[in-house]
Amino acid sequence: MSEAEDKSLFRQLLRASTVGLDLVIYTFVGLAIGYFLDKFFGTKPWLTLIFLILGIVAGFRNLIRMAKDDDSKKTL
Amino acid sequence: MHESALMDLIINPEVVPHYVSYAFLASIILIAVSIIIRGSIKLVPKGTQNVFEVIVEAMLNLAEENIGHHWGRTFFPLIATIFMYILLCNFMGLVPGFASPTSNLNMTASMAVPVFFATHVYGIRVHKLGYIKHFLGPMRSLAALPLMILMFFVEVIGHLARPVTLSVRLFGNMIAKHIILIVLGILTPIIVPTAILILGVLVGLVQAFVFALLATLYLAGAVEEAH
Repeated sequence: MSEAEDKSLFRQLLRASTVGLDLVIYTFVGLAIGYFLDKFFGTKPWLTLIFLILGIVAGFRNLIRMAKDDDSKKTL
Repeated sequence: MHESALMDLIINPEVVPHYVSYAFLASIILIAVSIIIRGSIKLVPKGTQNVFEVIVEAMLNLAEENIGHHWGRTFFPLIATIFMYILLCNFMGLVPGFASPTSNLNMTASMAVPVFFATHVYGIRVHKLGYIKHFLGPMRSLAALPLMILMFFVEVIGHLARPVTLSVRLFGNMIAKHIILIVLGILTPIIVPTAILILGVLVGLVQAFVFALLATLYLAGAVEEAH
């Protein structure tokens, strides 16, 4: 394995290590936004539910985009 | 939680908490070392200058490979400063008598929030109003308008979650190491905490690099063309 490949693998490993926490926090940020918007507009439970689902979608979108992103092209 | 630390001799921890005083100490150390190296800079590096050249070169490569030549040079100071500062803060927690400032959520958030703002300020500066294209997903047509609105909210949540993940990851890793050390220090003889200290060096280095890498990728995503 060349040195450049080695470096790219290391970076991808580090990025992959962030996925677990990201997925959870994206969900909770969505939930928090929905909760505070609900408090502001007084439309309990609807915005909480909608933004919770949007947060889950955002988390998985981030995961899929990271998996599809070809990092090997960027590293010289 | 009250621990004694060396800074207590100068600053009362009741007034200025440890993570603030040690954050200032870390910046003073970095500035002092930089000035000393700058005064005695040589073509063939030696000792401390060698170490700093390795770090700076690695950070410059990281920035230029991921962001591109022009903007890489612009963002390099921010990324390299964050990396060196976090690295020093993480390692300070391993030295007896010192506390690590990064094991407090305020401290890590104070580094993640500027990255968040830098991302959007430079995104707007580069793309002007076209920056909103970054938030609308891959499809562009009138028929896909509902999908574009949905993607806008998803992307906004994604962007708002970035500083939270950055700060919580660093804080969580550092405080976890800290708590494990305390608990094992009470429960077991001297060998086991030493092994955790070795692990702590690795965690400190890796987390500093992860923070710098993610900051680079976020900034790169803001200045590149929307896809």
